[in-house]
Amino acid sequence: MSENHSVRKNSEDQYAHELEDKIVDIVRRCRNCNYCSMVCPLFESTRGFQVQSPSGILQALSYAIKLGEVDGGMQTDLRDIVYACTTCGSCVLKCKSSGPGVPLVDAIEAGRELLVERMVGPMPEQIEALESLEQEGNPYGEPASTRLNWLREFEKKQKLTYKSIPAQKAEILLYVGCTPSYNERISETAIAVMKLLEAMGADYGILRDEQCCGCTAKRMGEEGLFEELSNKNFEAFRDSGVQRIITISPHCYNTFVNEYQEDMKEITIQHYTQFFAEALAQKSLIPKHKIKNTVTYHDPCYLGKKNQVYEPPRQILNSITEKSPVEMARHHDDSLCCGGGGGRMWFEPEETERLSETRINQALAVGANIIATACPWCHIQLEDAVKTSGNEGKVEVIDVAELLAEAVAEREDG
Amino acid sequence: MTNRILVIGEHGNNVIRDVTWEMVAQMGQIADKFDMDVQATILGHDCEEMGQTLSEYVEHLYYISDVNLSNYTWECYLHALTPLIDKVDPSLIVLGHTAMGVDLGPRLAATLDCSYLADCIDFTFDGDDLVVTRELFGGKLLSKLKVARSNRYCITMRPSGMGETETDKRSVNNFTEITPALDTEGFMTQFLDLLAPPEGDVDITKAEIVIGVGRGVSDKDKVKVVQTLADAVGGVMAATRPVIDSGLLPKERQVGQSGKTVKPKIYIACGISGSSQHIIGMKKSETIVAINSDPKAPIFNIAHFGIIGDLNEIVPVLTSGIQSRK
Amino acid sequence: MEIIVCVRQTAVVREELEVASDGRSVDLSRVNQHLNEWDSYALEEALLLVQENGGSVTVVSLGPENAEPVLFHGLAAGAQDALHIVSVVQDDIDNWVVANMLSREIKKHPFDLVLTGVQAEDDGCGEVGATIATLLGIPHASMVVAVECEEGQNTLKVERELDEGYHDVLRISLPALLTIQTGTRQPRYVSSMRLKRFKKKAKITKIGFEDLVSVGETVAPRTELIHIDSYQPETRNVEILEGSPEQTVGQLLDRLYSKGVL
Repeated sequence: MSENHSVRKNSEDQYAHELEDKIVDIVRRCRNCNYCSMVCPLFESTRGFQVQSPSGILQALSYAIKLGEVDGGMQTDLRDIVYACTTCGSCVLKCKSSGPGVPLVDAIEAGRELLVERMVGPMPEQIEALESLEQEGNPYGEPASTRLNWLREFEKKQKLTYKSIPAQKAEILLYVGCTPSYNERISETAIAVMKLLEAMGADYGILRDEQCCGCTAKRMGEEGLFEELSNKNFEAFRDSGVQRIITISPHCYNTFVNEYQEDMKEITIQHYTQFFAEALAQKSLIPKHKIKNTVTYHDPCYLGKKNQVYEPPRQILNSITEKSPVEMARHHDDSLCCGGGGGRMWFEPEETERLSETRINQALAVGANIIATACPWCHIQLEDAVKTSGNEGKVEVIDVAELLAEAVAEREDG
Repeated sequence: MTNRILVIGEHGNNVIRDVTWEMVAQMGQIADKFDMDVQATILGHDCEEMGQTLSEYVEHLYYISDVNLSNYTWECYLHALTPLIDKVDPSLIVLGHTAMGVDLGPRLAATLDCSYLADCIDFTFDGDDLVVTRELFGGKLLSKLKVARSNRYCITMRPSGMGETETDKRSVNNFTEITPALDTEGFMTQFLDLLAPPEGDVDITKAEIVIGVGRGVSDKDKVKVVQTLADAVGGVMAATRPVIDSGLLPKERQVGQSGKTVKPKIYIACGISGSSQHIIGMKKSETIVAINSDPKAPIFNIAHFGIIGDLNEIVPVLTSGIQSRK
Repeated sequence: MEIIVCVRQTAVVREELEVASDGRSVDLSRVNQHLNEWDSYALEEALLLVQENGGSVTVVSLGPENAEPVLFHGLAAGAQDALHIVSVVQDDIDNWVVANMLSREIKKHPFDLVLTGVQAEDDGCGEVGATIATLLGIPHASMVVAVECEEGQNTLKVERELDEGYHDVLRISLPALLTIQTGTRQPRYVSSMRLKRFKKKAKITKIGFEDLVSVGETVAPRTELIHIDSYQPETRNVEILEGSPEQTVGQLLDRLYSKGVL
């Protein structure tokens, strides 16, 4: 293979060339066995073109780099190929378990960084999200000043106990995240989590000026923006003196644990399912009644595949359901991606069947009438899919926190 | 300054455009108030009949006829207008804030070296000073501006979208045809072609029920949800410019100044904030329902019924409400 | 092709704006600024035309010192040069002054095309482009949605947007000025990192008003701001329905069916 891939213009391109080298080096390790295609949700839900599989995406990227075509004539084709990946990581697990252990998703994300640097990426639909992130600290185009409106609205009906960080000190920081803050349905998850923390008498608080964790920026290839957001957040966490951070979204969890500054390791970071599973085990939370429905748990990719957190949500569900929860045919590290990760909440490639609708059918196939989720995006994707697949009334999508909060609450009728 | 106002009229498809009727009516009111008289001009070829029609409503109508004026270009219009303006010596030149107004207005004003103000909602005279009212920030704020005292002003007025307005007939025998015999040798621009909007599968201008979507409807799924409502109620979907620009619906569904004008029995505006460019395309709808989460959205200024809320919640409930009443 | 692009910074307004107590200004201190959306399409058109036909792009902006970011954006996106006509608080500016000053600077440079956006997001006047063209004595075309170079000739074919969905096509001789409409070719995204790199090393040429006028000459504005108000529509006859979605929809349908609309 020639070392002279891509025309070396001048040192201005150094950053781009480093990315190109990184990608080509990773792709060189691929054996083209295509085992990754077997587990790739993009490959499964599209029409079978090789470029819609992990190895295919990387071959396309690699050739574009070697032929100097990254910002040449095939721009948007390459961009569409590289951005279609949900970054679920199924391929990474498969490649590790069957051989070379190529860090496929890292290479794809480096490809996105390269495309952004070359001003070919991101997807046009994602540009507004990035501008909003930079200006308002959330990807939804909403003013930063309204970030706590969900809480203010709720407190008109019922007061909650929590501290406002940094003005007040607390042991635990509940990191709410952008989606629960700005999406009304998902704010109910945040409220459920707060009710649970209150029931435990936990010493916790919420940031007064919370900003996006930055995961979205990173997935879209905007490394600079990710750095800005992560620096601001890290300083806020460090200055607050909290010892533990609980997140609602697995995306925030993943990025704090795996992508933030080294010093973040001094703080205990948990997804709320881990925290509440512990609480149940230690009896600081006691379920008062059990849910009678048939529940199935949908493993979010960013909690499961990326971080191997599979059991805590199950432990919670086991202790609050009358009937044992049922497992879908695809579960744990074989869970089917809902299609919302990797920047795909903002655009959708042409699919033969929408991933989230496939997942609904998989839930119905095991007789579930509740799909329990532990991720705001899985929740939105699956709840939308219930409607678009015409299954309203047959199955509901409810967050694990909401189910637990209901189980723990005092019922009026005793 | 003189007491003459000159309205530069527009026509298309062999009729005087609504915006010109609005200008004439508005200028009529100004003229009454400030003791001025309203003159107008139409430029074109084979437009005598239109000129005659318009002449009944103004003090004087100048019809400038030339084969090079068959299609609008600022250059031909400018060459034809400057001698007329010298002759009539209006102190106020008025155009509609339309594609033509935006293109010709500043050029004409700069050529005549007179002050120019665009997209005025209202104006008045304060002595010899012209005072205009304009929007800022897409309608969030209103500004009042005074134009430096001058012998001549040129403004474009925002079309109100209300179409023909009552005007008093003014005079008769006030029609002058001018044939400037334009010599386009050395002109810097040349008209090549006029492209009509593409024929779509649906002619939204003929629909009785139109459901308009705006920026609040931001992806294919949300479009589908609204389409379900349109199907339930037997209506057609239309959209504002940003939705069309992002490719969610085809161009023939665009309602607004650069799209189509609709006057259905009912227009349901979903997630539309109500920019003036859109409103002008649907203002004449018999009943307007607006659904928007922002209570200050300008759409509520022209709506008959409003629901403040998240369209993702409201639209499905509306759909099932209609289905259950069938 | 030598192309000059006029760009401007405008406020990104996501919330209600407050008018200062003197009624003559708006508090924009906590509002984000960005490149005017129409100008971003003009910039992209320029960059693509030069990519396709060779040449270079110069961006120019008239604005206060803190309006530099749009010029760095232009350079990071691929423009070769950036000119900043710096306005100071004492300068009395309206669109006439802007067009006049810009044309004085542009005149000093060789160019084939000047591109501007159709209008600015904050005032929506749409006048600066055509005014500059008149002052420069060059032809203009406004609301341009497509540009085609004519091989071997010193002309362009442009497609323009008219009202009611119509378009027209003109031939225009160079040098010329075009005002570019939104929705033409998608502006490229300039990342945070790219922008930072260009902010560190790129050079912007600074020009003051005094560099553009002769001794003792001033370009006076032709309009004077009297005051600014929050927009109160004169009449608002809407009936706002209150309650849950089920309640409001129920009330709405009751009214529509009883009126015979549905």
